[in-house]
Amino acid sequence: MTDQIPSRSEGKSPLGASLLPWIAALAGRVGNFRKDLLAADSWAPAAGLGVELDRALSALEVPPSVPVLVVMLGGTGVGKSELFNALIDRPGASPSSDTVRCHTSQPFLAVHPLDRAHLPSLQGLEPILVEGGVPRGVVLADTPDIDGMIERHHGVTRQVLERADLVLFVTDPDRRANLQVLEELRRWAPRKRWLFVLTKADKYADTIDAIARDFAKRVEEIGFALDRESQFVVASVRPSDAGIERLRQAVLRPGDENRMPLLRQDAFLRQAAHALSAGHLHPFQMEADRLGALADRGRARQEQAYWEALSQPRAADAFARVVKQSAWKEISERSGPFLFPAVWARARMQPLATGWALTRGLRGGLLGVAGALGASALWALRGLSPLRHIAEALGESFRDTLSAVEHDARRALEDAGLDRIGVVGSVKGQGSTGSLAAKAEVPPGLGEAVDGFLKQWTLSDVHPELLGRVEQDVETAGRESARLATSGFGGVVSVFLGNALVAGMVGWVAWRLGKSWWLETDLSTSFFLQAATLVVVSLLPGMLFLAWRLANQVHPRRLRGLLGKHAGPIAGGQLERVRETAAGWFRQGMDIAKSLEEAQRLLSADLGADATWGTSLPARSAQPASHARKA
Amino acid sequence: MKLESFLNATDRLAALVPELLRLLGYREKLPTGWSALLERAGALRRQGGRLALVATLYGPTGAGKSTLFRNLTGIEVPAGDEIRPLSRGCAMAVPDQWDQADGEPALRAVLPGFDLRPLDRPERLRQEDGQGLVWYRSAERLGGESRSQAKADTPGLFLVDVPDFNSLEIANHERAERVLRRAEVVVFVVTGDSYADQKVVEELARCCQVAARLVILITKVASPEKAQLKWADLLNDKLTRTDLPWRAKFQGKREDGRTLEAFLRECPVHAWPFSAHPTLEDLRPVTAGAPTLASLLLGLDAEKVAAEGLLQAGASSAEWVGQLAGRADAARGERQRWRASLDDDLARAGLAVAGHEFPIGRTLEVLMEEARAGQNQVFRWITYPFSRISAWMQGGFQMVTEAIRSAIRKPTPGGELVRLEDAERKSLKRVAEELVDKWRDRWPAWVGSLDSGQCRKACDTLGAIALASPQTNWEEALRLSARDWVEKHPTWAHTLPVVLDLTTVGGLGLFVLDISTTGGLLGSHVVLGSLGAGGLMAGGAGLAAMLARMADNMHFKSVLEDADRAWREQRGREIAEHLRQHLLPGILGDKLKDADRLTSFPVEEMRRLAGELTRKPTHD
Ligand SMILES: Nc1nc2c(ncn2[C@@H]2O[C@H](COP(=O)(O)OP(=O)(O)OP(=O)(O)O)[C@@H](O)[C@H]2O)c(=O)[nH]1
Ligand SMILES: Nc1nc2c(ncn2[C@@H]2O[C@H](COP(=O)(O)OP(=O)(O)OP(=O)(O)O)[C@@H](O)[C@H]2O)c(=O)[nH]1
Ligand SMILES: [Mg+2]
Ligand SMILES: [Mg+2]
Repeated sequence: MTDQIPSRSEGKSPLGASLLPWIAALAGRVGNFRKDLLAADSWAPAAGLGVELDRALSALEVPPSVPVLVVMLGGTGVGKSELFNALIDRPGASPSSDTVRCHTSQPFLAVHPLDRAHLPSLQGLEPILVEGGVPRGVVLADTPDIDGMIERHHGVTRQVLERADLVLFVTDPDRRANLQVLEELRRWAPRKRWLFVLTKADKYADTIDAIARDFAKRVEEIGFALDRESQFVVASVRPSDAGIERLRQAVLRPGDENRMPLLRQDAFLRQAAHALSAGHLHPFQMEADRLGALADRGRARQEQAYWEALSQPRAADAFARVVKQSAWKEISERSGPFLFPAVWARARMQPLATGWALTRGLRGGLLGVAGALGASALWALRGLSPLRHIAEALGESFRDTLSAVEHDARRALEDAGLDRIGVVGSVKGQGSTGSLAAKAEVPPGLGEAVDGFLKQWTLSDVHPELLGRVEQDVETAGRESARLATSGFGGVVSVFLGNALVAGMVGWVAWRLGKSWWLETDLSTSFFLQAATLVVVSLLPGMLFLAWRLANQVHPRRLRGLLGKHAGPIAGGQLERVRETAAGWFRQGMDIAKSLEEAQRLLSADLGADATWGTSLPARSAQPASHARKA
Repeated sequence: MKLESFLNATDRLAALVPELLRLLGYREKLPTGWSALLERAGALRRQGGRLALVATLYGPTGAGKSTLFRNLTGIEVPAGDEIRPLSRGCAMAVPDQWDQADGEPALRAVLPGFDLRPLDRPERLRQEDGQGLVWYRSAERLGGESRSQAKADTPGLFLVDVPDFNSLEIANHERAERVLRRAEVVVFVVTGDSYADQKVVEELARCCQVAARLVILITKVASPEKAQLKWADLLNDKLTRTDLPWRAKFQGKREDGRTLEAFLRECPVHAWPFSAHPTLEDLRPVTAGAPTLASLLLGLDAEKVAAEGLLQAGASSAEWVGQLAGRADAARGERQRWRASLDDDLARAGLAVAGHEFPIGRTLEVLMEEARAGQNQVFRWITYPFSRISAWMQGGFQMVTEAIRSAIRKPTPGGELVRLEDAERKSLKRVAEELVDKWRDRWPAWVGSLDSGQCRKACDTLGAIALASPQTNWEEALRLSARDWVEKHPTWAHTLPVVLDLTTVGGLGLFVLDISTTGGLLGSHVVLGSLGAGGLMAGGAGLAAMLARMADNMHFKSVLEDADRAWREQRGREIAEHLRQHLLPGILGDKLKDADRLTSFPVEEMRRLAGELTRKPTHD
């Protein structure tokens, strides 16, 4: 994964140089991850996470000239408007009412005249602007209620809240335990920084301390570690109330050009970390596990069917035959210099024979050609028909198993809405395991060409991947049995003796030849005949020995041992790939979350000391489900 | 209408409705009216002659329910501001003699299904406890007025203080609602600032739906005038605004035909101004001259109000039962269409399995056999040698081709029939998988439980069961039509086999001639020679086929094809039946049975019963 800045903020670079490099790198990772997730939007958890990350990234796009937005959140009648007016010291700026509830229906923004041009965008809303009362760099927002009977109000408030840099959670003693407001707080908690305000202290003069403690408990239940710095008890209607003064000190201080970007980077980290919380990533792992179990089951089923099919006598026989064929090829490399030509010829017999028959046919006229074709076909068929037998053993019932596994895999993906997820982004695609493809690189000789043609003709109805697997197994078993036949004490001795015998004969012939050349005598024809015969005969014991050892190795009952653990699945590969993707996303999410947490700690060291920035949920303490206590 | 028949209708519905809910897959919460009907009807049954009224305080947390209860009854229940929500249990004030040991059974009849326990310590109400638990204690007076002054013949009023319905303590909500269902009278306690809370207005609507009498109490206001203004804002502004959904919600009808809104407008409204130590003296009706809350409660005509409570619950469930019936109708139509399309799919699948290719070669053979059988004796005797030789050659040719085939491929043991079965079994499997996929596609909700594992199980189960062999043989069917044709067209029937035999034998003759005269000029090998003969023979068959085609105007082919089709259709039906019996249960399980039950569900009876609920029950 490269640490590039995500496409969305590319070119804009809104924070310019003030974007901390380690945060920029993190943003790059988050951006790439988001792109992968959004590409798989048919899967709800991926799409949801993608959107969340998108939202987190948008925090980085706010230019530094935009002032800090401080927003109030609270139920109807808790005294938000009254508090707003008291804070900016403009009675009646946002009308409050003691009879009509759900009174405020529009956001009110208190803004410094010089900040008017840089207001955060609140699309579709028409906030009422109140000039003055706040220092430069800070905008204070009074909002409609969040629990009244007019639902539009809730939407308006949420929209303002989306942009908030700091939230004042406002409540009065009556409303402090209401489910609806506390739920709203819980939903936004991990994404924002907070201050908590309890109003109407004057009305409950005797009990307000106990009430404040009870309220703090509610807030702590959500996961906040509340300190006195971020909790305020106010009486907005009381002139020069100490609580109001303290809150004003905390919130309405001139903005600081250097710190604003930090605040937004913190918001990015916070929101991204929230999106990548364990609860949100959990579905990925669950899905990966589930798919993994399904894939394992499918694979086990295939394996079993495969071995059952191959252990049918006819197929097992045929398998042993082709394995022997391929083992000879392997042995030729291990047979020593003198036995080599014979072993090589033995291994090549199949294609050589077809090739030879064909070349002969080229000169024999029409009938000759027909005869040669027939002969080559017979030769080639001898090698191919065992393959055919194997393929047939892997016949209907095996193919049924395969298609069942394939169906199951597809349906399992459909069930989870994962069927349209390809292999996306970071997870590398796996090449097909077909060994046929690898072989085709060597230009085929005449014999092989005929073999290939015949193979196409005789085996055309065999599943190519299946054939590939059979061939691969044949090759593995051949290699393994060749190794076993030529190694160990017996193997080494037989190779040595076989070679020594031939070497002796060749040496003897060479000596005779040398001697006659030295003595300038002529050798009779019978000598040459005799020499050739002897050399050929001397090849036999070694060959026979090897053949015998090979026959011992390649026994139908021992084949499975030769092959050992098995390779990839033939059917249901998509399941495997999607599992890989889901697991990959889970790992990636966890990785990024860890880095985010680290970054958050670093940044908090800068920000946290100052109460101005409010308190925040400690990283990873977001409650997974409704915190409402149940009986 | 007799009370008895009202209760009977309720009982019958109580049996029908849950089953219908299951069949419809109803997941929403049951409406309070319905639960209230069951609750109140049960109470009425149990109480026999003594009718008791239950009144509940109902309101958001901190509204002052417990403070009011305390002030009215003198029973010490926890109240105050320090902890929110405070009350977690229900407290009930019972008339004087009712808390005696011998009063308990009668008490249980008033609140059947509730767990009643005497309240020994106020702390009980702060504890979390199970659902349906009510702590009771006697209170001689209610708001300073002695209960005995109330009508002597009524068993009295049972006042219940319940927990809130809007705090984060979710279990509280159900506890409060449980009592609400039983209570005929509701005192809705709400603070001046929460009258327009979403949750509060929702609950207010619920109370309007199920209560026989509703009293509004607005607490913690500056003055009764303010309370009146707030209530007017709710009634005249918020509930009438066309851009809000509430207007429609409060247009529902009550048992006497009034809308919920009209009912709400007529409810008495009381106010209780804010004070650190509120007393009953401050609590007064917002309209001057109206009775105080206590006398209002004590003055209720128990019998009348209890009847109204039952009727109101009946009315509000009747509407819902009617809706259910409508849903049942719609679902029934949908299920029927669904069954029809299932049948359709099965029939098609059956045909697809039965519909192997029309075997023209075998058809011709059958035809030749029938034609030969139809030749007259003399003619047969004359052509006998030819047909023998021809048959011998055909046999030989077949042997050779079989031999070649088996050299390359595994021979299939058994004849045509085995191959047919094989083909059927194979395509049955494929078709079953396809069907399952199709259904998963078409009814994602219906077949929602049909995950990949279940599909596999169903398909495997099907695969394990052998397909019964066809009732009538394809060849038999064909042979019958062929015989028919031969009888109708004797000339053609005589000529065809002869032509075939002659060409076959002619081929052999040519081959022998070739070997003996040119030493195999035309075919140098025996193999090639026999191939040549085979070719000729095939040519003969072709010629015969051509002749047969010429006989098309005699509907030879179509007759045979018709026979084939008829046979296939019959086989298709058999296979469809097989699928129905062995695939469907695995996939749909009880859904089929449920669909059938829904189709025969007594929806009309339900409608009739619902109608009975809306008529006034009276004592006889
Ligand atoms: N005694 C007292 N009354 C207050 C205080 N704050 C607000 N109020 C009163 O509470 C009532 C509601 O105040 P608002 O400011 O309108 O409440 P809000 O939260 O803006 O309400 P909506 O706009 O309806 O959401 C008004 O009558 C205020 O005068 C306070 O600190 N003490
Ligand atoms: N009932 C009532 N209480 C008032 C009024 N003004 C202030 N209060 C105070 O409001 C508080 C009401 O508390 P509770 O009676 O416990 O409220 P509740 O409705 O039982 O609340 P939960 O038990 O939490 O559901 C008490 O502390 C009262 O003193 C008023 O006008 N009426
Ligand atoms: Mg306001
Ligand atoms: Mg209470």
